[in-house]
Formats: sequence, C-alpha cells, structure tokens
Amino acid sequence: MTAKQHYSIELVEEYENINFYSIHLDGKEQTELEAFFDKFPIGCDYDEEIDVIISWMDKIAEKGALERYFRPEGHYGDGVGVIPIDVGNKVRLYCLRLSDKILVFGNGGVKDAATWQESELLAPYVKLLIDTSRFISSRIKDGSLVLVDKEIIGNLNFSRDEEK
Amino acid sequence: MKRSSIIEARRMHVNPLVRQNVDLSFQIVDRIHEILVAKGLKQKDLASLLGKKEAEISKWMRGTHNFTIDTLVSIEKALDAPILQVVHQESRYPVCEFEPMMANEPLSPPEP
Repeated sequence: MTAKQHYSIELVEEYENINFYSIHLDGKEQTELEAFFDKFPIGCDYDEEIDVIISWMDKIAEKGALERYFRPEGHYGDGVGVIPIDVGNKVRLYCLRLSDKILVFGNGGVKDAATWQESELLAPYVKLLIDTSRFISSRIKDGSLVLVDKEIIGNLNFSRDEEK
Repeated sequence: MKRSSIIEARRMHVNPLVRQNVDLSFQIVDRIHEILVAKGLKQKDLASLLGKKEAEISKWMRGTHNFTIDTLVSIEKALDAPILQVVHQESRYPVCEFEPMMANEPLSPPEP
C-alpha cells in the first residue's frame, strides 16, 4: 500500500562556506534533522553519540563536506551518507551530500538491524533520501533546480509514493 | 547566519572532551590525507602498507575515529612521516637566556 507524501527541502543552518538543509514533511512542525535531535533529549542513553554527531557537523561546517569524511550508504552514486560515529556505533543520522558546500539532512535513529534495508525504523529515512537524490538529479538535468555555491535554487517541493 | 534553535540548544550541552576528541581526530586524518597527497598515495596504498582492508582505512579517515598510539605509530612508520608532535615544556614557556649568560660571565676587573 502506498500513500502520497509531500515535502520540501529547507535551509536549517547557514555557515560561511556551507549550508545545512533538511527535509520538511508536510504537516510536521519540525524538519527531519530537528526531529532527529528531538528524539535524543539531554540525559538519554546516547548522549555521547549525539555529542559526536554535533561535533562532527560543526567540523564539517568549518572544513566543508568533503567526500572523504562521509560513509556512503544507500545505493552507489546516490550521494546518501551516514554520519560516522566511532562511539558505541549505534546511532545513525542520514544525509545527502550534494556538494562540498551543500548537505541535505534526513532523519535517523538507533540501529536495530544489521543493515538499513532490514530495519523497519531506518529504511524509510534512507529511502526518502534516495528518492530525493533522484528528484534533485532529474531537476538539475532539466534546469528546474540549480546548485549555486552553497545554495539550492529552484523548486524545492517534492511528492513521492511512500510505502506504508 | 541562520541557526536552528533546537540544534543550538543541544549544541550548548556538547561535552567539551568529545568536541576536543573529534577536533583532534579531524586534525589527524587531515594530516594523513596531506601526507598521502604529497607522496602520491591513495588510501588503498596505505591499507596495503599496513596489511589492512581499504574499508578500515576509509573508516579511520572520517573524523570521528579514536586513534590508538599503536595505530598512529604504525601509520607514521608506513608513511615515513610524522603525524603527531608532542609539545615540550621548553617550547611552550621559552626561557630567557639573557640572565643566565650574564650570571656566568666572568667579572671584569675594575677599570683602573
């Protein structure tokens, strides 16, 4: 069974050399990146992993989203990466690396299976980013969307069939 | 510049030690990357020099790996280049050499 899902990509954090965007699902108050952090309040079991994720994001804001800092996830070439965490290694936060200056964050959570494909919790987040990567590539090709320095310019509203 | 209030609120509580670890890890991997580029080597070359899989080296190079001294020494040896340098006390607090020199100088005989 599928349902139509509507969402947009919006700017969440802006830095001198990089912009952090995130997916914002229609009808939701927060972006997916903010919803991710909301799942891990201060004092939760994963404080240290969240600290690593934020410290890593802050370093990326400073140095740029160089390819070598990412762990590829999803399918080959779709640009979906996972934030590398070397502590506990349980929490996953997914993002789409469009360039050294543009990241689009999705959601994530605690790993509950060997691969994201086997995880009922994480698979929807990765699939959403894979589809978004496909939509963006196609819009860049037809000229309805362009990446200019650290900005994504054009139509940032999307619709997809979501598996239920 | 735009910031998310939710992320900013969480950012304020990041353990400074974790931040320092990640910062040092980035410095280490950037230095390793710099040596590889200077020597015309790839991560897979470092993997074969260390007898490891490329995936493991790639995992180290993402900025959050907690390097052990053993690993750092083996990388320094494999690449024949220094990665970390220890700061010695003398270089942090330079001593004034003028005073001891004066004290060691023989006293001149008084002017006639």
